[in-house]
Amino acid sequence: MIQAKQELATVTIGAGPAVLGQRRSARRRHIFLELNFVLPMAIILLLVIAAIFAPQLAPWDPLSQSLEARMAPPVFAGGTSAHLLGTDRLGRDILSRVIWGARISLVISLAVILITSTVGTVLAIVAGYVGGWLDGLIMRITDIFFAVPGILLAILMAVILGPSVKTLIIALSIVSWAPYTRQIRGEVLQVRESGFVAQAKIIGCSPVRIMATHIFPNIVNTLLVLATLFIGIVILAEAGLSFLGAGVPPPTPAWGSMVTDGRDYVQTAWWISFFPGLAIGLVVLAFNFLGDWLRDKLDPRLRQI
Amino acid sequence: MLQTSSAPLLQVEDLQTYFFTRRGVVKAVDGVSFSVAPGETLGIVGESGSGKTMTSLSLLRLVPQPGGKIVGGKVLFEGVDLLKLSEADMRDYRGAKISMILQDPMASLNPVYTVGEQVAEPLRQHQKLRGQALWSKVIDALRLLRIPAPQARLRNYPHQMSGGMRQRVVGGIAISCRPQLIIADEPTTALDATIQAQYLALLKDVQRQTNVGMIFVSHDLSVIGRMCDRVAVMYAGKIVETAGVRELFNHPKHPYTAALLASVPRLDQKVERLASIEGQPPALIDLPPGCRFAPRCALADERCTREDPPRVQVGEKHFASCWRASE
Repeated sequence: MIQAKQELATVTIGAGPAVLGQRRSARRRHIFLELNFVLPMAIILLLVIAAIFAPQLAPWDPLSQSLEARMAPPVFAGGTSAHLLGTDRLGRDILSRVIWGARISLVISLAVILITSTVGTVLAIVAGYVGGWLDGLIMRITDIFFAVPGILLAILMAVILGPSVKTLIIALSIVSWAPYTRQIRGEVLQVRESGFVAQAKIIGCSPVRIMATHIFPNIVNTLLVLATLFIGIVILAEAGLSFLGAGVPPPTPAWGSMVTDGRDYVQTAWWISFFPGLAIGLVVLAFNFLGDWLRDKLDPRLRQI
Repeated sequence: MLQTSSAPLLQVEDLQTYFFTRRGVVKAVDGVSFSVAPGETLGIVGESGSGKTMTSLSLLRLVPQPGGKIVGGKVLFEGVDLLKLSEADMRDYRGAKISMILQDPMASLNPVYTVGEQVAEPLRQHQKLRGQALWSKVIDALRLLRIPAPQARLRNYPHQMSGGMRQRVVGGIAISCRPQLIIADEPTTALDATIQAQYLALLKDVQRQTNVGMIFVSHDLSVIGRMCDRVAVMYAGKIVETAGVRELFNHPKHPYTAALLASVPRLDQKVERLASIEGQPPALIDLPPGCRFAPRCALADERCTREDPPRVQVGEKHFASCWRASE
């Protein structure tokens, strides 16, 4: 019995690294077979290509109007191949406007993510590491921004500052940095107590150095997951604001305002609202799926978000 | 091996580190004095909560915040009172002139950096080394700790190494700037017995080669006996006895030291039951007057519970804080 157990033990020990190696390589092979990685990635790639090469890809000028071709249906619903996805009430090509809209969406969401993740992370690390009254102050401010309804604040700002891309970026940044601070501060509190932070103090690192080179690299996974998830949310918020008229001012093609444009014609010319709406849905879904996938890959502890 | 010069490397006088908690003031270190000569190893032995770790953290002014505070005393390192330095000046001592080795090799290394990076960090900071000069010093440090194939090991991450190797890397970090003093706080508690013995021998060897002074903190008397030249026994925030290691083991004068030594299992004697010290160490809040060991002491009389015992010299370099030490 004992001998058998020992045999078993040696077998397992011997097999350990090999099994691990196999599992790892298996995972690597499967990454391109994982649908919840490949599909979102494909959509996001499409979005990025559309945004970068909008002038080359769009068949028409997104602003050029044509009274003869107004409200033309998409090619598969009885339209012509001149306007693949049809035209709106001013005769502007929907496909071209959706492609140019990708640029607006991506520029705004990336700018907002860059600003909010930087501000949120810096505040979180300072609050979590320094602690004391500074922690209390930062976290109470964070709580206040959690309590304020974001969309209302953004509309208010757009009304005061006048709608423009810049206003939209500022407004969306102000309302969406708080979740980073709250989530990442929790992580910092954990990392702060670890042995390697004590070790860093022992070798004479300054607090700033500890925060930048020892704490930050250990919370970067969380940051990445949060940022990915929030791109989708920001795109949705931007579209919502544009839909409400507080976003990108017309005639700039933004998906949200395109949906508004077609609101009155949904029964007669559904394509005006449908295609920008579809773009919003797909892109937001893609970022959410990608965020979920990243979260599972990088940090299983975060699954409850 | 012992190159003890007359001027001590480190002299601690009446060090007091208190914790201010809601329930009261905890006197974790209460008037501790000792000195370490260059190349000498001072052992600090005591049970959990006796203030060993707080004493060693106080020397580097790294008492846990918030709550902990060094409220009095002097820490003279090469004649400079470290407690009077600015925080920025103090940082120039940490890792450069005074190093520390922590208990847990698994936790002391940052998982996101290679071990080479981590050994290089103090050299970059304190000696401003870059490039080839930096890496040759890093390899020197790893070689001193007998890490095989140091050149290849540089690029390893901590999780790719065994516990024993990781603890050697931690030792390498401590020695990289060639400090004059290393504080080792139970550096081997997380390692198994064989690796522990290897590591201790290695530390001794490093000390012989670099003539570094060492403060070796442990609760393990056998380890203290192997590593140290002199020993300070701590009980409830105070040093109750200091002596040379042989003198202490053979002629303990303080009843606590004697009781500690009696409770060590021995291979050369057959005993039915190990001796133990009855009772618990006192809570360090609201301490009663008198000797702190008195409630557990077999020899205690009425005077012991009334007045603090004096520190008396009972032999050459042998001091004990006990009313009855000289009897």
